[in-house]
Formats: sequence, C-alpha cells, structure tokens
Amino acid sequence: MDLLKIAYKNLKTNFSFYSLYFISVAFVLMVFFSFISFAMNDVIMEKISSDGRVETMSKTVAVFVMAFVLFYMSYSNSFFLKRRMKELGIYSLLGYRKSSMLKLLTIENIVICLLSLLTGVILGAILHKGIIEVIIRVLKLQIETSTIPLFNYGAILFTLSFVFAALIVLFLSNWIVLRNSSVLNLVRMEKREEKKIKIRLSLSIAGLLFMVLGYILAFDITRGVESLWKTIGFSPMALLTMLTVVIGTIFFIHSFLPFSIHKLEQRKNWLYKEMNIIVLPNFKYKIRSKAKTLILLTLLAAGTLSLFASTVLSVYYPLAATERIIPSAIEFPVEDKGMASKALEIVKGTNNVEDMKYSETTIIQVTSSSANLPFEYSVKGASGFDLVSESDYRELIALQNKTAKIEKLEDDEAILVKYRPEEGDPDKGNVYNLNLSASDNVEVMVKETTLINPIGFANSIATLIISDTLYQKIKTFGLPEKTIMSIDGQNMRENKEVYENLEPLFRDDPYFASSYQRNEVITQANSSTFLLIAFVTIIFFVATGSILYFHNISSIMGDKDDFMILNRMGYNNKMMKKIINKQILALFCIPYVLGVTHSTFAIIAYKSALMDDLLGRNSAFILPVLVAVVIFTIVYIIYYMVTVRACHKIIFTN
Amino acid sequence: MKAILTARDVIKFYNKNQVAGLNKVSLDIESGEFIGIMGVSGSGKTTLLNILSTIDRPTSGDIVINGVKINKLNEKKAADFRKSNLGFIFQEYYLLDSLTVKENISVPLTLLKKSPQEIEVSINSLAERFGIKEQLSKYPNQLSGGQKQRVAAARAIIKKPSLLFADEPTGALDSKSATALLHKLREVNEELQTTILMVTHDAYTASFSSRILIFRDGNIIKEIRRNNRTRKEFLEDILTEVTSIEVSNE
Repeated sequence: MDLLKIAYKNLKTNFSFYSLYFISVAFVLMVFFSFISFAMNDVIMEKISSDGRVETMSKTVAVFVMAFVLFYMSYSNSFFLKRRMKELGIYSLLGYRKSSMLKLLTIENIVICLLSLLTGVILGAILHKGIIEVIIRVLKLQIETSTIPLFNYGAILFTLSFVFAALIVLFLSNWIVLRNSSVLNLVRMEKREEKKIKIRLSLSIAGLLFMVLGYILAFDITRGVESLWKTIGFSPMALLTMLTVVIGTIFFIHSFLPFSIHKLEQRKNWLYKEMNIIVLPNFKYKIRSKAKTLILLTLLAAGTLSLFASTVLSVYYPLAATERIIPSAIEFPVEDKGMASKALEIVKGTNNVEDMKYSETTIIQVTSSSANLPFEYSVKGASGFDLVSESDYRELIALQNKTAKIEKLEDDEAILVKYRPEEGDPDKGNVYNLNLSASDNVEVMVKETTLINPIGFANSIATLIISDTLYQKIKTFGLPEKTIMSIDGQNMRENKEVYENLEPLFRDDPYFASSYQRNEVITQANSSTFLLIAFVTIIFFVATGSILYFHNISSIMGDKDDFMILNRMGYNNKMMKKIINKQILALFCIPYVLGVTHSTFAIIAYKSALMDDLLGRNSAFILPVLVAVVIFTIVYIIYYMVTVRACHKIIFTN
Repeated sequence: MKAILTARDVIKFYNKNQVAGLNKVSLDIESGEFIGIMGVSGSGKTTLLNILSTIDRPTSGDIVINGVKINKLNEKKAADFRKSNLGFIFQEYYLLDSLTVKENISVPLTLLKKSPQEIEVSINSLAERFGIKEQLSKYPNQLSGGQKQRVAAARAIIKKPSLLFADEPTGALDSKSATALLHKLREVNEELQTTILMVTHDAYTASFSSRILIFRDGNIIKEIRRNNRTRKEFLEDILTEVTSIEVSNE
C-alpha cells in the first residue's frame, strides 16, 4: 500500500466528490484555452484590430482571467484539503511523514489538473474554432478558416505553463497548511464549538443604510446636470458609490441578515413551525459562518453582471440609436443634381433592390435672436435653426415607415426636433424670433417637441417644423438653403450592396450617411470587446456557481448527523428534503438577489454617465440588462438543481 | 520486568495562566502491562494519552519510550517513531474509507517495507484472531461498528507495536461488541505480550486491564492493581473506589 496507490484509490472512491472539481476546472481551462488561442491568433488579430487596441485589451483581460482562475483553483484546493484533515490525521497517526502527505496531495493535484488540462484543451480547441467561425461571419472577414489550426501550439504551451504555475501555487499553499497543522489538530479535530452569534444592531443598521445610500448615490446621476456626479465629479463619486455599496454589502450580509432572522425568531408563532424551527436558526448560523464567502460571491456576481450588462448595453445601444442618427437608409446632401440622379440610378440598379423610395427635402437655415434658445441651436458650426415644412416632414416620416401624431400646424406654431429627451420638456411653449432679413422677423411658438427626427444629425440638427404657408413665405426671403436626399425602402437599412455601390461616388464625404455602414462600424469596433468580456463572464459565473456548490456540499456533510436526529424525531424524508432545499436556496439567493440589484444600479449609473441618451425610452436599456440577468439566472438555476441533487444524495444514502 | 515507558514530572498548560491540563505527572509502564486510565471528562486522561503518544507535546517534563526521549523528537522523527513503535485505537475507528479492510490493515506493514508474503501471512492470522476474515475485501462503510473497531485493532497490532494506545475504544459500541473487543485486547495482551494503555471513563471497560490509574485535575490520585483477583472482584473494587472519589468530591 504505497502512497501512490492510496492516492489512486482515494481519487477513485471519492470520484463523485472530485468530479465537480474536475469538471469545473476542466471547464474553466476550456474557456481559458480558447481565449488564449484566440488572443494568440495573429491572423485574426491582424484583421480585427488595426491599432493594437484589441491586443492590449486581451492582454489585460488575460491577466484578470489568470488571476481569477488561479484564485478559483487554490480556493477549491484548500476547500478539499480542509475536508480531508481527518484522513491526513490518520496517515499521520500511522506514521506517515508530512513530506509524504504533501507528496500525496501533489500527485493528486497533478493528476486532476493534467486530466482537466487535457479535457480543457481538446474542448477549448473546438470551442475556439467555433468562435472563430462566428467572428468571421459576424465581421465578414476574408479569412479561410481552414488556415487556422485547431490546436494553437503557442496557446497549448502557454496554458501548460499556466497550469504548471498553478500547481506550484497549490503545492505551496498545501505545504503551508500542512506545516501549520499539528498531529493534534489533525487527529483531535473535534467539531468546533458553535459560537453564540453576537448580533450588533448598530452594524446591521449601518449595513442597510450604507447599501441604500450607495443606491441613492448611484441613482442621483439620473438628475443630470444638478446631480452630485456633475457637481463633485465623476471619478470621486464613482469611487464613493462603489465604496459605500461594498461596505454596505459587507455589513448587510454579516449583520443585517442574521439580525432580521433573529427578529423573525422572536415572533414565536412564526418560529414554532415544523420547518422554521430548523431552517431559521440554521440559516442564521450559516450566514454568519459563511459571511466571508457570501460577501465575496455577492461582489463577484455584482461585478461580473455589471461588466457583462454594460458591455451588452454598449454594443446594443448604439445599434438601436442608429435609427435616430440615420433615420433613412441612405442620406446625402444634394450639391450637384447630376450626381444625385446618378446615385438614384445606382440604387435602382442594384440587384436586390425591389422597392425604393426617395424624397428630397429642402431645409431653410435661419438664425434667431431670442434669449431662451435650445441647446441644439448652437451645437453645430454655424448656429441656427433648420426649417422643414410640415408636408415634407410628413412625407419623410412616411418614407421611414414611422407614424407621428401631429396636428396641423398654425402659422405661428412649430415643432422642435430634440437631440435627446429632456426632463419636463423645457422647450415647449417657448417663442422664438426668427430673423428673416435685416428688418423682417417672425415669431413661432414651440407647440411640442419630438424625438422623431426626419433627417440624420449629420445633416440637420435643431430642426424646426413649421406650417407649409409659413415655410413658403420664408422661402421668398432667399435665406441659405440646403437640399437633402433621403432614400429608404424595404430591407434598405441592412442593404450591403447598395452601400458598396454608392460608396465610390461619395468617397470621403462626411455628410453621406448609411445606416448599414454605421451598424457595421459599431459591430466591428465592439464585437471583439464583447467576446473578451463574454469569456470573462462565463469563467466568473461558473466559478461562483461552483464555489456555492462546494460550500453547500460541505455544510450538508457536516449536518448529516443532525438530519439523522431529525429523522428519529419524526421528520420524514419529504420534510427533510424541503429543509435541505430551503437551506440551499437561501445561500444561493443572497449573492443572486444582491448581485442583480447592485448591478442594476451600476447599469443605471453607467448608462446615464457614459451613454448619449438619444432614444428616450427605457426599453433600449432594459433589454440588454435583461439578457445579462437571464443568462445569470439560468446558470444559477442549473447550479441550484445540481447542488440540491448532490445534497439529497449525501443525506439520503449511507 | 523492564519499564517500557517512563514519564517524569510531565506538565501541560493549554493556555498561559490557566489550570494545568497535566500537573506534574510521573508514571512507569512495564512491558506487557495493560494499563487503564480512568477519570471524569476534563480530568486530563486524554491529554496524557496525547502526550505519551507523540500526538501532543508537554510543556515540561520528560517521557522515554524504549529508551527514546520522545518529547525531544522533531516532527519527522516523531512520525517515524509512531510508524515503528506505536499503535492506536480510537473511539472513532479512524479507518481509511477508500481502502478495503485488508488494505487498511496492511498499511502499517507497507510503511515498514515488509515483503508481500509476510504482509499476507500477518493479515490472515490477525483476521482469524479478530473474526473479520469474511470482511477482508469489504470497505469500512459496509461494516458494523464492532467490526470496524476490530479492524482498527488489527491494524494497530499488526506491526507488533511496543505500545498500543486505546482512547475510549468501546465508546461507540454496543455492550456485546464492546465486551468482545475487550476480550480480544486482553487476549492480545496476554498472548502477544502487547503493552496496552487504554483511556476510559467506564469502570466495566477498565476492569479488563491489569492496573488502573485514576485521574483528577491533571493528577494521578489513585492506583488500583488487579493482582490475582477475578475480573468481577476487580470491577467491584474499581466501582467502590470511583464512588468514594465521587462522594469525597461532593
């Protein structure tokens, strides 16, 4: 019976116990390997990154991922080591030296890590191929996929060195644990006494207050210019909010939750129920003893979720905003009649165009001497309003397949097109004095404002819609004018050929706008970022789920005797299963609920601070967050179910 | 008879400024003795076993086993010493769950690098003695408590230790299994001349030994020898002594 054989037997009989460790490490290494293969692929990198931005980013991400994978591996390693203290004690009693035990642990680690590595590399290579395929499709790159090898040897070498480094770290941490444990505490590790939980009212209240304060601070950003984020500054406020939420989370989990359960326990008619009498005291104790892990998991979940949701948002939002920035599929100023008709011919002649609609709009540019002008008036090079007639407006809107409920305008009325929505609609009711000539002017009152702009912001901003009769009257004054051609039609917005055929005609014209081209630019610029963040997110989700699994398993193993006693006292299997499920659910809920709430507020702040709000509707913001939360929820539900099954198995089999 | 273990003025403090766990304990154990150590919980009996068996270290005092000053051994040497000299039986069995009964019993001899033939022979004769022949290929979790403890005993004895330490060996057993195990220990002590030091709080268990040391507050306060009395007479004597100590305590 040499140690190697014992190690082998131990791995074999405890296979189910180690299998999740193995699977999760293999999974993490799989994602890690495909990430490294991706980052080390010069062919792809050359295509998707011209300025080295993606390379820098993937290097940064790689550092984070490596640090986290290392953390996860050493966390699970020490978790397993703690569970095996008794076994090590027996070895020690029988006369095994600590160096032999360290050898045993190291051999086991090497076996598990190498098996995980092998699995991870094989699956990771396939995953990497799949990702490359998707990227090439999405970015429409001209790459022959067969030229990209399935196994990137550089990446294999890198991953191997990483695992090797991880093994050294595990070896060292095992050595430290063994060195610090005497034979006495290995053998005589009587169940540590459950300390009476001290609950401080002040800390519980502080936890709740800090967390709410953090949320209020985050939400304050939506007040816009008056918010503290603007008056104090973004960075200090971001730091303060994060700090407040972190401190709040710590005390909330450490003190407030046990405190609330303590209060619940004092309501005797609530406590003395067959389930609650077991679940509540147990939960209170577990939260406290696992507070450190729960806090860590909550913050990790919140961070990952925020990162992921903000990435989804920063890809999705600009795409959604294209419909305002370029409302028609193609738009350009008409400076040369011949060129305009040539452009129309090209579009008509493009193969897949069946239904083309176009419209020419003449804008009159006018200045105003009123005091209360909207900010749009002065954002462009030469300040002024762009006047569009009501019938042109209706025609363009119809061309773009949109509906706007507007009543017929009187001659002294106008509709102002806003760049972004403003709280309380401050422009409504304003009267603007339009200068028609040195001696003539006319007053119009803003009857309402709208976010449905007929022309893209590249060609017109501060657009003022006025009645046809007023428009005709102003036209006679010979003010500067410009004509815009808008082209739209079925499937026109996504039409690649139309853009590619027109592009040579308008080379380098900044006023030539194509919705297809804009969306392409956004996708190209963001998809690699998105992919990198997706890698990180997956690794983090899997790791946090696994940590929760391990914790629940270990605590249920410690409770096995308690359940035997419950059974003898008359709790049947169904009731005990219910108790187990409730205990597990409670531990899953804390990081889940807090993580989702934290990240929701983080996204609100992120969106208000960094995204230009053009759409003025919440759905554009809710959808990406929902996507992130749904993925997170699915991962957690799977982990919850796996954990429940494993725990039932532990309690109900001998 | 030669002394196999001598302990002189052994003191153990758990925390500074606290009551001593062991308060200047001295004792001698001769080869082939079966010593019972009795006392209520907290009296220091388990502390003594831990210190005498290299599991724990004394604050001061000297312990010599087979001519080796064990309180001076470093960790590595202590492990080697346990490997070749000491056997253990605990209330909790401490069997390796992933090894079969046979493999469990074989571990101490493989550590001593004995030949496979020798190991086989030893296992078979011990399995016979402890009545676990049928169980050799089973895993510990397929056994009853009594069987587990007999496996643990076989594992402790197989290397012919100079000293066998037993800490409440019957604590988790029903009375029938407990009696059977104690008879086996007695038998091993008499036939194989194994020296045994057994800690127990139970007078019946203690009555299987040949000499009993009663502990209180970290001191040996009483020694009872069986001499040539029957076990029943010895048990009655133990009970009388224990009761009188308890009465004087009140």
